[in-house]
Amino acid sequence: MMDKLITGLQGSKYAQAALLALFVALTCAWVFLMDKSVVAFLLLLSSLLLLHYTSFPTKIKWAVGGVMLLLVVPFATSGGASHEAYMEVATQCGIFIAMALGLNVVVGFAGLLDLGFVAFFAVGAYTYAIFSTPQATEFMSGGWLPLTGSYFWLFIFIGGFIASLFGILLGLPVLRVKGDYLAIVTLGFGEITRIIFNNLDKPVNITNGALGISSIQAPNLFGYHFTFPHQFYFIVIAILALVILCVKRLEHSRLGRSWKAIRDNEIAAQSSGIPLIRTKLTAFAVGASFSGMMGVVFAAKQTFVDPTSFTYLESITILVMVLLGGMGSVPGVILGACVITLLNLQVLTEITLWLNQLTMQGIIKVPHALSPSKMQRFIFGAVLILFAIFRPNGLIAARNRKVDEGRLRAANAPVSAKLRDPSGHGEGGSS
Amino acid sequence: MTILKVAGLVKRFGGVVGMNGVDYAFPQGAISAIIGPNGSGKTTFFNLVSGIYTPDEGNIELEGKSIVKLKPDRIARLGIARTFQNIRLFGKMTVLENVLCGMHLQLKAGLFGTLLHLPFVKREEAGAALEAYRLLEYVGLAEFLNEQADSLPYGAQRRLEIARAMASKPKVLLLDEPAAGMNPRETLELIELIKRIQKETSLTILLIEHDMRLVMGLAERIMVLDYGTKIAEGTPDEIRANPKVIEAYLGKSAVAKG
Ligand SMILES: Nc1ncnc2c1ncn2[C@@H]1O[C@H](COP(=O)(O)OP(=O)(O)OP(=O)(O)O)[C@@H](O)[C@H]1O
Ligand SMILES: [Mg+2]
Repeated sequence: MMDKLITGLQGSKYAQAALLALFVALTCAWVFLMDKSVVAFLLLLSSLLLLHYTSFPTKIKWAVGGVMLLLVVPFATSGGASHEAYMEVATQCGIFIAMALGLNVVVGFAGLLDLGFVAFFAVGAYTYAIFSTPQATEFMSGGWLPLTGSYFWLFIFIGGFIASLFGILLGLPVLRVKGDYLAIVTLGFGEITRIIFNNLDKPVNITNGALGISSIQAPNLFGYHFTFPHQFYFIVIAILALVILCVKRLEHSRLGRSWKAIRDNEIAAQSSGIPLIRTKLTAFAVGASFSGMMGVVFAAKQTFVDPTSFTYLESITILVMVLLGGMGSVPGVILGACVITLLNLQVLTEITLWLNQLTMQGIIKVPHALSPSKMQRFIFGAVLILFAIFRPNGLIAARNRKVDEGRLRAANAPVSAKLRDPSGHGEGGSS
Repeated sequence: MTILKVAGLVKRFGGVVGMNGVDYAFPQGAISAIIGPNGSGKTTFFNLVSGIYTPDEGNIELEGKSIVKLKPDRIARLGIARTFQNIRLFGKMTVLENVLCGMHLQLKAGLFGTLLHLPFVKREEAGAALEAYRLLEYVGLAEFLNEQADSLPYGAQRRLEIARAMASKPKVLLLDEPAAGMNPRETLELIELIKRIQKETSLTILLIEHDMRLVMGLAERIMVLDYGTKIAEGTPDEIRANPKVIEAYLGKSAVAKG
């Protein structure tokens, strides 16, 4: 009965569309009417996952997904007082998705285990923070400082660019080691970056040290100021669209193949003419740039940065997103980032709240030290172990792109099947 | 005409001498075989020529230019491609993608061209897929094009390695034990394939093989290694009659008896 239903559904696009619409409508109504419901919000977001599994053409899926994110989600959450809270969560999800996609280029495509990835996020965040506050005047002179919020848009790209430069600088020494050593060295460099930001207040005050940089300018578009989460939400969606487009284009390109070739077999890749260091550095640079762009957004959204936001636990969190979602799988990594962010921000805090209530009512007694939001590391560890055992390829395993054999065969038909001189030197040989 | 020449080639691994002063000149457009007992340095020789090892002494020249100390990808660019004794495919990629990786040097798309989705990149990709498909047809793997490479049967993996190596349009193709692990029928097909490649192209092929039927059937010239030194060279008939070779393969007593 159930099987029949499922096969029936797989066959009919109308049934899929109807079901999806119904699901979206219900969860929307629920989110809209309830004051704040984690479950309803999760279900609303999971309609995007349903969309992923429908059998519509890719273009339609993207269009529907875009409408969902740009119209449906902001509208549905606008019903109650928790609008900003919902939007904050969604914005954070978006920031982490972009970072996880960046790390996925490095770990999932190129196979380079990087445990210090948050460093690039920090570089992006500090780039904007320093120049959009009087901080810059501490070590530079110029009447043009500090920059106003209308430079934010430019800084998204400058932040990405500086982060990728940083990725290359970091990569040059680091990429000489492989495997486990690389993991350790990147872990070290990630921490060093944070410590440098922490101490770069003397001799010249560049980062304002442990005090951090505050009053970062809000983005400004023709006089319109972005200060609330529901405004940042749209900035994040726009950058995310750009990031996904980039990743999608790279994934099956000459460069993407080179990354995967290096991941699968370094020696064979080199013998096929793929330059090792340069290709790895591009992976570092591309991954870092996504992180750097989101770092700029993060700085503007928080209006404050300090080194404590960029600890190695953040790097591990991003890595867990990639591993959980599925290394090398773009939809997987997006899902992984959402799951972990929501787990961190919503589920764990909700459970903690609930347990606290129970404790106050005297029903049960949970020691403070055992509150779920404090067990983040434990839960990550457990998730990683469980996935390594039961689902090593992640939630949505990476899939290779299949080409249409019929089309290739048809295109090939007019030409004779005989191979034409693969040596590239016309003279001689083919007698 | 000589295409590849080595002179006084030495490679040491700690105490072990993997290659001990080998001189040889490979004629252009011919199939040459390298044979020798296990551990005699055949694979080491390929690793030196393809840049995976750097020789401790001696010189390697491709078309008269030294390629010593160049990185493997530089050497590939100059026109040497190879297969591996212990198969080294890009296991998690499809069969077609493996060949596309082999075409790396033929393609031009860079980071920005790809990100901007320039028209030339699109054209190049379409053309590359078609050419890769033809290569797969050529080695008889077209039906597997969408399979994951490490899921192929052994013999097919070896042929895929050949297709990937040929995809870079090399001048010299190094085949390290291409028939290892193949059944007699697959071996016969492989012999046909190598013959066909050589007939239809001006490719120079260097071949390491233990299967003497294959070596004697294909090679025009043979170099014999033992303990990292060249103990003989010549045509298949000369090699078959060479007492030193028989000794290296069967031990001294066999020669004495014979
Ligand atoms: N990377 C290395 N480190 C140490 N020793 C090595 C290395 N590579 C090869 N050798 C040694 O060099 C010698 C020659 O090895 P090689 O692999 O070239 O032999 P081969 O002729 O290809 O043998 P086979 O027929 O078994 O493939 C062997 O003694 C081997 O142990
Ligand atoms: Mg060998």
